[in-house]
Amino acid sequence: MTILINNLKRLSRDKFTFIVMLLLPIIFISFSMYAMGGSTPLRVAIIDKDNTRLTSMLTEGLKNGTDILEVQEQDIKQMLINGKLDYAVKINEGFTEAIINGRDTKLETMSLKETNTSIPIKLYIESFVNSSKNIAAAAKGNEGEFYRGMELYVSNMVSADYQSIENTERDTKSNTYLSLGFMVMFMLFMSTNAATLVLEDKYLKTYGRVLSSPISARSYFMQNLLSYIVITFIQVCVIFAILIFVFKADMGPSIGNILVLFLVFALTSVALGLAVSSLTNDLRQNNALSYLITIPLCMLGGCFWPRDIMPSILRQLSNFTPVTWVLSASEKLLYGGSLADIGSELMILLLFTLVFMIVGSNKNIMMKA
Amino acid sequence: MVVEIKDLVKRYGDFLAVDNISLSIDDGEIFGLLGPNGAGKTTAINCMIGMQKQDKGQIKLFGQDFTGREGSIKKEIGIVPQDLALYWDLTCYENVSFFAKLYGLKDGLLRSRVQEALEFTGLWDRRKDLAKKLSGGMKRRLNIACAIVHQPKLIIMDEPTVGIDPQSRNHILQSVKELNKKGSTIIYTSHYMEEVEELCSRIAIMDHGKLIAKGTKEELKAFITVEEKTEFELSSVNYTITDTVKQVSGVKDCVVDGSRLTVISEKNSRNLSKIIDCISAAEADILSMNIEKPTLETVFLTLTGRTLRD
Amino acid sequence: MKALNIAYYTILRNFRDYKTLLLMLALPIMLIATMGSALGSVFTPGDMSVTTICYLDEDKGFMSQSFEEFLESEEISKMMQYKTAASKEEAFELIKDGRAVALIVLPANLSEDIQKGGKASIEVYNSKYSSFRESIVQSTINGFVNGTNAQLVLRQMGAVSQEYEMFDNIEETAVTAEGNAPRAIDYYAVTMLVMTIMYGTGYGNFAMKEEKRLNTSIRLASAPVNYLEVVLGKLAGSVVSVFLQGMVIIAFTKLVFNVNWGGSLGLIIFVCFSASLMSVGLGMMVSNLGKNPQATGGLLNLGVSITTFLAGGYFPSSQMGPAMEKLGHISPNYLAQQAMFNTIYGGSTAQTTNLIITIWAIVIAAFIIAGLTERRSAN
Ligand SMILES: Nc1ncnc2c1ncn2[C@@H]1O[C@H](COP(=O)(O)OP(=O)(O)OP(=O)(O)O)[C@@H](O)[C@H]1O
Ligand SMILES: [Mg+2]
Repeated sequence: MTILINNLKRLSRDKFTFIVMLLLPIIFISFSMYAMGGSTPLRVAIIDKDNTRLTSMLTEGLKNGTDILEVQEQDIKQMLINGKLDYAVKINEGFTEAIINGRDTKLETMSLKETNTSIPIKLYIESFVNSSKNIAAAAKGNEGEFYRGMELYVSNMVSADYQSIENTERDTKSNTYLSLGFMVMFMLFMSTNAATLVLEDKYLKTYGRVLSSPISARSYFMQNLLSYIVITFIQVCVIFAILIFVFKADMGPSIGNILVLFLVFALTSVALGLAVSSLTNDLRQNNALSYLITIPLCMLGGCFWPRDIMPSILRQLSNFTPVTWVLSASEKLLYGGSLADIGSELMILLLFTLVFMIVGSNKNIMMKA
Repeated sequence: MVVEIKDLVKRYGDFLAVDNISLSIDDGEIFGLLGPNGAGKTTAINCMIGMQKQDKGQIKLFGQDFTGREGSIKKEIGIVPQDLALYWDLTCYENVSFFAKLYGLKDGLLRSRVQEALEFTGLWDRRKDLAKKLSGGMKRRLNIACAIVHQPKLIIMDEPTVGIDPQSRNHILQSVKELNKKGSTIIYTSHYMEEVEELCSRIAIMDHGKLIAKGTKEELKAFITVEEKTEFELSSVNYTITDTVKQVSGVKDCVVDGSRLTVISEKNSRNLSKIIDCISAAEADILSMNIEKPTLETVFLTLTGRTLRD
Repeated sequence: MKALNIAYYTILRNFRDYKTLLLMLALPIMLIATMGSALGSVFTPGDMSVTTICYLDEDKGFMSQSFEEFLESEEISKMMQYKTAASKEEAFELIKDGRAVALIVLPANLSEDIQKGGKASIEVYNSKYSSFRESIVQSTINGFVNGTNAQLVLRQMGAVSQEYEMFDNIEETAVTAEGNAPRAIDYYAVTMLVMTIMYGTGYGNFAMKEEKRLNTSIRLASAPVNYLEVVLGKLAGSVVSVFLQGMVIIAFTKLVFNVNWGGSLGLIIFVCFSASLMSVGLGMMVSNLGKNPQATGGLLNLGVSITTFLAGGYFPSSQMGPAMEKLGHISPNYLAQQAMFNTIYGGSTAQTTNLIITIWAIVIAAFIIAGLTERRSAN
C-alpha cells in the first residue's frame, strides 16, 4: 500500500501536469463526441458574373441538397483537387439575356476528372438551364413572359417532399463507439506515461533500495501496477460519466458490462506500459519505444478508422493487438451483447495482460538499469 | 586577498541557510571550510560563484566586487561541485573540452590544456570513454578535470572526495596540493577532518549557517585546553613505574589497569621520551603505544556539540 | 561564439543517443510506408460506389413510367440503382440497415393530380446522417422534378405544341488530381514529418531542465558565459536536432519512397525549420509551466499525439466529418502540414504566408511565456 499511496502523491505533486494530464483526454473525447460524424454534402461554387433573377433562381435551386460555397475564382481548381469542392459553375455576363433571346449560350463548369460524384449536380444544372431555354422559346423573347414562366417553374408544381426517417439510436451509438476508440488510445498513452515512474525510480536509484527493503519485487511491481490502474480507471469513469450525462450517449443495454470490459483493458494497457518501460533504460527511449508500439496498435486495432478499410493482411495482423479485441467487444456490448457474448474477447485480453506482465516483471530486465 | 566576504546572508524562504558570515582568504592558501551536513557550506559557495544571489552582503574576488556576472572574474574561478556535474553521454575528452571552450580556450591551447587536465587527473587513457562508463572515483576525478582545465587562480572544491576508495582519495589530495603549488588558491570543503588537517593552512568552521570559528590549525586547537593522553600496553607492570612516571615534568596523573598504563600530561609538555625512559628503566617492554592529541575533530566536537559525520 | 559551442555539444549529445534517435525516425518512416500503401483508396478520388435507393410506385401512371425511364437512363444508372419495395416498412428496414439510402414514393394519383394541374409531390424518405449520399439523391430527384416542371410550365404557357427540346447547356472543364493532389504516401510523408518535428517538443522540454538535473547548471553559472548565451545555445542545438531529423525524413522518403515534395524544396525546408522552432518553443514553455520534466515530457507526448490526430496526421480529418475538420485547424500540426501541402501542390500562396506567419506568432508567444516562467536559479 505504501508504494501505491506514494505513487499517487508523486504523480499529483506537479499539479499543472497532473491536472492537464487528467483533463486532456476528457476534453478531447468531449470535443470529438461533439464534432465527430456526419458527412459533408456535395459542395458547389457559383461564380455569378451575370447576377440576374434567373441566376439567383438557379442558385436557390441548388441550395436544395448541396452546400453553396463562397469561393474566389482562382482557388477553384485547387479546391477541386484537394477535395474541398465538388463542382464549380461560372455564369458569364449576358447569360440571361442570351437565354431570353434564344441565343445559344453555355455555362462554364469545372469538375474533377477522377470522380463521378458531381454528376447529380451537373444533371440538375443541365435540366435547369435546359428548362429555361425551353421556357424562353415559349416566351418568344418576351422577358416578362419568360419570368412568369420561370416563376411557375420554380414554384414546383411537382415537387419532391423530403422526410427524414431518423432513428437517432444508430447515430449516437456509432459516436459512442468512436469515443470508446479514443478512450482506448488514451488508456494506452497514459499507461505508458505512468510507467515512467518506474524509470524515475531507476534513475534516482531508489529502485535498488526498494528492492532491498522488506517489500518484495513482486509486491513493488504489483503496487505500481495497481496505482496506474487506479488512475486509469478513475479517468475511464469520469469520461463515461461525461459521455452519459453530458452527451446523453447511448452506452447500450448495460453500462456495468462496458465498465467491466474497460477495467480489464485498463489492466492490459498498464501491463503493456510496464512491459515497455522494462525494456528501456531511460525516459527518452521509453517514450520513443512506447509511441512506436502504441500508435500502430491504435491504427491496426481500429481506433482511428474502421478496420474494414484496411487491406486483408493488415486486418489479419490486427488480430494480434489487444485493441482490436477491446473494440470488437465494446461494439458487441453497445449493440446489445451480454458479458457472455464477449467471453472470448475478455479471455484474449487477459491473455495479452499475462504476456505483458511476464515481460514486465522479468526482474533481470528490470535490474539492468 | 583572493576572497573577501562580508556579512553574507542567504535565505530559503524563512530558513536562514547562511547567517552573516565574513571571510577572507589569502593568495596561495588552501582554505578549509568545515561543517556538518546542512551547515550552509554549499550555499555559501554557490553565492560566491554567482550561482545564487545572496540576500545581503558583499563578495569581493581578486579585489573586485563580484555580483555574479563579471566575466573577467569568473574566468579565474574553477568549481568542483559537490554533486557530479557531467554530461554522461559525452566522453571524458568532450566533457573537459566543452567546459574549456566556455572559458574561451581555442585550438592548440585548448587541446594542450585538455590533455593536461586529463593527464593531471589520470584520465588521459580513458579519454574516449563515455562519462557514464567510468568508475565512481574516475567520475570524481573527471569532475575535477572539468574545473581546472582553464587553470583558474581560485579553485573551489565542494567535497571532492565523497564516496570513493582511499586510493582515489589520496590521488585527489595529492592533486590538490600540486594545484596549490602551481599557484592556485583553493577552497576545500569536506567532512573528512584528516583531509582538512593534512591540506589546509587555514580553516573555517560553519554550523547552522554561522561561522563559529576560523584560524590556523594551531589557533583552532588552542581554543580548547585538553590534556594529552598516552596509553601504553606493557609486558609487565609494577608500581614503581607509576611512581617514577608521576615524577616526570608535566605528568598530571598515571593509572594502571591490568597491563595497560595510561598517562595524562599537560598540553604540549613534550615529555614522551622521559616517560619511555622511566618504563625501560623498570625493565618493562612496550608492546604498543597510543598518543591522543587534540585534533580538529575534538575541536569541532567541543564547538558544535556534534560530530562532523553523522 | 560560446552559444554556438553549446549548440554543437547539445546536438552531439542528442545524436549520441542513437538508439532513441533511430526509434524516433523508424516510427514515422514505418507509418509512412504502411499507411501509404494500406490506405491508398482513401486518397485517390475515384468513382463513388453506386447509391442504392428504394422505389415504391403507388401511382402506376405516366409519371411512374417517366420516372423509371429516368432512373434507367444511362447517366443515372451509372451511379444509382433502385430496388422496388413492396411497402414503406420494408424500405425503412433497408435504410436503417444501411442497405439503401432513401425511399422514393410516387404516391397514388400523382399522375392524375399533375394532369389536373394541381400541386403534386414525390415523397422522399431518407436518413439525414449520410449527407453526402443524401445530397446525391436529392440532386438527382430535383433534376427529374425540374424536367417535369418545365414541361408543365410549357403547357401552361400555352405552348402545347412546342417540343421539349434538348440543348447543349454546359461546357465542362475537367481538372485532374493526378500529380496535383497527394497520394496516400505523399500525404503521410508530410503529416508524419510534421509529427516527428512536433515530438521535438521533448528536446525543448529537457533543454534547460536537464542542466539542472545533471548539476551542470552550476558549471554553466560559474563560467564566464551569459545566461542568455546558454539558453540560445541550448535552443539552437535543440532546434537543429529536430530540424535535421526532419531533413532525414524528407531525404529518405524522397529517395526510397519517391514521395512528391514538390518543386520548391527551399520553402518546404523553411516550413520545417519554422515548425522545429515552434515545437522546441512549445516544449520549453510547457516545461516551464510544469515542474517535473518527466511529467511534462509525458504530457507533451500525449499532446503531440492529440494534435497529430486532430490535424489528420493519422487519418485525414476531412474523412471524419466537417466539424472534425474544422477542429483540426486549431492544431499546430495543421499549420505546418497545410503550408507544405500548399507549397507542393500549388495552393494559395496567401494562405501559405498566413500559415507561416501564424507559426512564427506561436514561436514568439511560446518564447515569451517560456521566458517569463523561466526559473533561473537552482532552486
Ligand atoms: N534550494 C534550496 N531550497 C531550500 N533549502 C535549501 C536549498 N538548498 C539548501 N537548502 C538548505 O540550506 C541548508 C544548507 O544547505 P547546504 O547545502 O549549503 O549545506 P552543506 O553545508 O553544503 O551540507 P552538506 O555537507 O550536507 O553538503 C540546508 O538546511 C538545506 O536544507
Ligand atoms: Mg554541501
